[in-house]
Amino acid sequence: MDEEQMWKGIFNKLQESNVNPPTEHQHQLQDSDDGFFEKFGSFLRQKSQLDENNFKTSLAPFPEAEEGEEEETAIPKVNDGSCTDSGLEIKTDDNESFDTSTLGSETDLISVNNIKENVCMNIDDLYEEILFEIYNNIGCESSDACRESLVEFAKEVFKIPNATHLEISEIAMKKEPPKLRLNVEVIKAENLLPMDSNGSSDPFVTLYLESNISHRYNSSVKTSTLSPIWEEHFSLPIAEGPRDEVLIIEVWDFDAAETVKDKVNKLLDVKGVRGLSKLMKEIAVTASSGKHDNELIGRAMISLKSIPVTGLTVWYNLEKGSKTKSRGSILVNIALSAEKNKNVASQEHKHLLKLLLVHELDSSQVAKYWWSGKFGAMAEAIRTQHAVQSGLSPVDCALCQWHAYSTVHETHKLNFVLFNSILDVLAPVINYLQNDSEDVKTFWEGAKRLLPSCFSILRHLRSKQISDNKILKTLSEVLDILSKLKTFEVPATIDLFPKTVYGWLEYEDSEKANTIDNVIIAAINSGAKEWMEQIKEVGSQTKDHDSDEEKLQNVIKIIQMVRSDLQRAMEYFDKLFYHKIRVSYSTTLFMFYDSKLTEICKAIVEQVCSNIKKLDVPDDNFEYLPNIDNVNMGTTLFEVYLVLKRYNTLGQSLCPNCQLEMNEFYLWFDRGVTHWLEISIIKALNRIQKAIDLDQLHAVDETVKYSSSAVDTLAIFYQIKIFWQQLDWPDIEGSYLFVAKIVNDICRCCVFYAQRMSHRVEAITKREQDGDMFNLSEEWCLAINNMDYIRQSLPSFIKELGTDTVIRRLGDYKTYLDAQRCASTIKAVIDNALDTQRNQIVELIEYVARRMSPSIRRYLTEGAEVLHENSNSMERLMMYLDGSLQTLYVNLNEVNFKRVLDSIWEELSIIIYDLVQSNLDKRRPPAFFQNLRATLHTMISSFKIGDTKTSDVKILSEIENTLELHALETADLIHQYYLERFKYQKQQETSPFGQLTISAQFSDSGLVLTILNARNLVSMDKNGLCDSFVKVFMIPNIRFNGFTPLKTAVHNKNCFPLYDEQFKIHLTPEQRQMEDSLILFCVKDKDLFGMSSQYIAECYITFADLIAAEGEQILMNLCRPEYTDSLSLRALEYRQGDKQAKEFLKKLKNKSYS
Amino acid sequence: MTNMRPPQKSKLLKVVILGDGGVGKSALLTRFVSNRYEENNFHTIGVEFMNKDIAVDGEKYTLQIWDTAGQERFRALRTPFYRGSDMCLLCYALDDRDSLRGLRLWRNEFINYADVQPDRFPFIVVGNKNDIRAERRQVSYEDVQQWCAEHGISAHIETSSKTATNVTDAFVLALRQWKAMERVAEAEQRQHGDTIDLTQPIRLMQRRQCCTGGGTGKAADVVDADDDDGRNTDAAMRSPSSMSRHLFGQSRSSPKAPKTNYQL
Repeated sequence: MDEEQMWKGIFNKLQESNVNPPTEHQHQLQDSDDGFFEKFGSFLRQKSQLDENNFKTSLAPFPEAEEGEEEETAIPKVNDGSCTDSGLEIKTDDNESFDTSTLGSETDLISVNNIKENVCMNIDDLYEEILFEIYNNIGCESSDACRESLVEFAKEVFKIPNATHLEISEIAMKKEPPKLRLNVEVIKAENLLPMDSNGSSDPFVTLYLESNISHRYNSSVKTSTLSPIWEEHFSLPIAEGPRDEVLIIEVWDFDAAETVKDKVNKLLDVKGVRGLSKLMKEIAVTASSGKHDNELIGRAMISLKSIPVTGLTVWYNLEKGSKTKSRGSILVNIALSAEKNKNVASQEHKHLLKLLLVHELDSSQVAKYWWSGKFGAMAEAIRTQHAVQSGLSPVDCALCQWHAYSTVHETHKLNFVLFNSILDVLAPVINYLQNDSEDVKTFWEGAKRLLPSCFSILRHLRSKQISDNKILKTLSEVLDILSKLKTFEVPATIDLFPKTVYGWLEYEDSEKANTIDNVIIAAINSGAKEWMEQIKEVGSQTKDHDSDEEKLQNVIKIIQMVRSDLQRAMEYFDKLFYHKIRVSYSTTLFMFYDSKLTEICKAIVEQVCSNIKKLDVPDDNFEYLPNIDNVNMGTTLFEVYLVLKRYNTLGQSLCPNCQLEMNEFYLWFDRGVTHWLEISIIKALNRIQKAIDLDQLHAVDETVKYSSSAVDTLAIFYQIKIFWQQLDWPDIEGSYLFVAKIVNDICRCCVFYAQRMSHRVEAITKREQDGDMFNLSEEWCLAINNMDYIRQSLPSFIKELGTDTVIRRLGDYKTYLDAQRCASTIKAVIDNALDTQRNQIVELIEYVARRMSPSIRRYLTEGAEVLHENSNSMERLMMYLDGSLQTLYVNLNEVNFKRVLDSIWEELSIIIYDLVQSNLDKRRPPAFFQNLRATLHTMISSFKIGDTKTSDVKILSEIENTLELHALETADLIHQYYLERFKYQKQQETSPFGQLTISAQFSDSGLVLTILNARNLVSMDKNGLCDSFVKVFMIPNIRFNGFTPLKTAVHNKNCFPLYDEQFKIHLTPEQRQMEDSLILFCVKDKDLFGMSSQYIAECYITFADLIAAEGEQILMNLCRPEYTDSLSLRALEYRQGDKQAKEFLKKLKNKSYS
Repeated sequence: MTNMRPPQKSKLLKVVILGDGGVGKSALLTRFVSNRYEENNFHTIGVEFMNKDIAVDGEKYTLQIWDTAGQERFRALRTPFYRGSDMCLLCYALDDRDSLRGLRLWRNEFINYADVQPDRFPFIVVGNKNDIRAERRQVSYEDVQQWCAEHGISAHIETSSKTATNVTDAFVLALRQWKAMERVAEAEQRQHGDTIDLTQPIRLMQRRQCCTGGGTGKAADVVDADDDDGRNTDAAMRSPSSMSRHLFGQSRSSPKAPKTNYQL
């Protein structure tokens, strides 16, 4: 069969069996060993593919029902829909005093008292200050109406009892209103009206308050521009009633104090007529006044009422007179502030912020990680008032917020967005501040408080439900914060990572201060470590009495969790980590897991492998099949292998250049795989046995000539192949060894199959033996075909195992020679199996033939006994053979059919031989053998064996010869003896007895025979000579009735006698035509007394030879009659009852000297 | 002839060669099987397998020889091949004292994985590199003798694959050992003769029959000398019908008749 087709066939069959639900047959088969191969082979493959798909398709990194992983899913869900980020809850570190369980209603734990303790300033003083500010609110928004509520609010925030409030309120009211300042930043102007003759201006700004015109503030002059940028700050004291005050901003064109002459010189630069007239005017003015005279470009008037307390940055149009003409616009930032000591102010501000925040969190029940900087309206009012009235700049405020919020953050987590945005404000300034300044210190203190929670986020990434994307946002913010903080130089005086807080941080290198960078890595690792310990614990609760199976399951679980963790890391976090802080998160994780997992898995796998009990593997005789009931190695170990393999592949793509400990994971499985192979051969052998037992020996379908067990057996091989492909052993030498082992095992299975198949059909016939006739059934043929099918499938199947690839890789890895040796080993194993199987097939065929032989023998015996004509046993024999051969021919392939024919012939020849022998003993007449011979001929023709050139034809012809001899009448048999002698004589080249020369001539009436001479006659007398004469007989004498022997004259004392005598022999035409008739020349020695003659020697010639050499001299070697071991003599010997034969033999014995 | 079964059947014996790396196991095998010697040193990768027909005392055998890698790292991988062995050649090198000491471990490993009774299993000890100069020799004949005595091994031999000394003899020695063990087992079985289970083939007697697919030429030179013996042994094991065939073959007188078809 074409190899490819065959495989297609197998494949299709297997496909079918995959598609169709397993049949009853398969069920039975698989039940026998619990579907061992299916589990290992396709089943595992399916499973692993499923796994793959899971990893590929599941975009939600934390599927809701992820078992065992979400040990923190127990976190109480907040029923309020607005607080969807409850999942953001973080398991706090041990060294953080805050207790998670107190979330929710108990947030008021963070009481003012708490804050009070930390605050060095008397809360009452701050309260007084705040009240004072409220009473002296500034900015456009303030009104009397809201003042009352603000006071109420403040009272609440500060938790001041009524009595105290009144007292303090009194004091605050009595206090002088604060000294205010108006802070103006002149930023820039645009589209200024050109004032100079050259089409440009030299603008500068003058500011003053309406109430105090004399006190003017001038900016610098920007020359030759219509879009000047100043960015200059001014602080104007406000004397009284800021509400009624108006700020006036004027932009002037600067004119230097030029002389008339200078101006005239400018004539050359003048542009156009207008410019000229302008210049003329200037010249005139200069000439008349003699002093500089700046020109007003435009003016903006701003009522301080319109300025909010937080200040504002706004464009103002410049105006002059009532003209609507655009004179350009100016951008200014205007803010009010109070005069206050900045340190005191910022300290006040920090405390105020804390109080406000605590109140905010308390009153609005803000969830953790939620608050992002937005106060309620009143709190905001108080805050801004304080900021402004304390003269705090935005940066100052930011710093205060940073500090205050980070403090609160320690106890009640705030949204990281808040800190990130504060950092945005601070970032530009912080590096310019003196390293040892108070601000820097404040900043880092805040950072120090904030960082633990940042790292906590990093460490507890796993415990989040991130399907709602919140964690990604948080992580993004945290990483932003970290990346910003990274850019700042940490003052040497600050210990950013105190041991008390960073318990999880390993201080290996105490000399080198931890940087944010390596703490990030440490945080990632520590998070991974904690997580791993948790999952380890989850899996190993009943550690001590765990079975190996459970341990392995546990390992699988751990690896899968780690793997999904990595998957998640790659899918969700990697991008963030890389973009924000240039850290490859998943690689870091993998490096960490690598050693940890190696530690865990190696120990367990090696332990499990070493626990494996040695198996009772049957040796090559397959005399027994070991009991497999207690060989229960689940698929688990192999599953672990596959999981690790996939995990390792992931690792290699993550860390392509790293020396991973896991890379050599497969070495742990050496023993396991070996064990599996041993189990698999035992299971395979058992499964084959089962398959054979279940085999009904019916063709699988109409197209094929083999039955179910062959398909089942190949299916087992197919499963082994899948296992091998799945194993994909990384080590080349190892994979050669395994494949050699598998090849060897499969070969053994094939041999075993053949052996058991033979037994099975033999058993069938034993049952049928009761009937005296062996019926060659289809089952036999199927059995033979099955064996042959398996045998033929073997080489291509082994090819499918990829042995060639393994060998090629070996060649690349080692040397070509090594690979060659390995290749020849595998080839030798396969060849052995093929040979053995072929022998088994032949043996089975021989067995079939032997089983057929008794029937054949019976028919043959019967057929030979009775006369040919009225016997039907020959017909019955032919029918029997015909039927059997028909079955064989239809069902067997050509090669096996021929083998069967050969075997039958072999049997037949034995039978016939036996028949001949036994019947010779019974002294059967020649007719019996004639019958037998006829039978043989019939069979030969029906077998059409004549065409085939098998060696058995020779045997057949020998049997035929034997039969022929025995079928001859005695006279013919004797003649046969003479012919044999004649043949022998012709073969002699020389003769010790001498030669005889004759010539002959046939005539119409007969034969003219001339006896010419004899030479070198052996001497018979004492004188060394002889007295010879020749006597001539015609043989067989039955044909030549009436012929008297002829005799020559005696030639005395001559060893070279010249007889030269002619005889005329009368022959009828019939006699003449019998070409095998012989003439016997006896040369005799006449003895002295002439009484008797001594026999010297004899020679023969056939008529045929005479005719051929007619008229020529014929030289013949003389010989003596011998009682040879010839077939014809033996046949004669059997005819003890035959007088003729007896006499002939007696004569011959007398004649021969021996 | 292609569809005819090859004529000679011989007993199939599985042989395992063990010993430290570099003692010359593969060289021994190569010399024995293909009568070659390769000067360059190579390591066997895992296992190697070769067939060799051999006639000893009038019986034909096919040795299926598994040569193993001596390196420790192949240990788990090579042990599965020990199963079903009929005899084991423990090899050391005459210029390496440690390799003789190593045999103890090899023997134990083999006994363990092949699951055999050490006193019932034909081990022989083979000292390789017999061709070395006397001063390089580290293992004396007495050393080996003592070692063998300690471990209950009765046969040892010194060979050289390089000079082809005693190579075939080593395998023949092993085979004789095997035969001796078989005889012992057989005798024991006969002693408990009344309980022999006829359905269960007697393991030691009934060997696998196989032909190695070797050409007739190769086979022919082994048969002649002890033709009759071989036939009788086989015939005794065959069914009655093969007996008649046997007689038939014997009675044919023509010397030209092809031997192949009727000799068993």
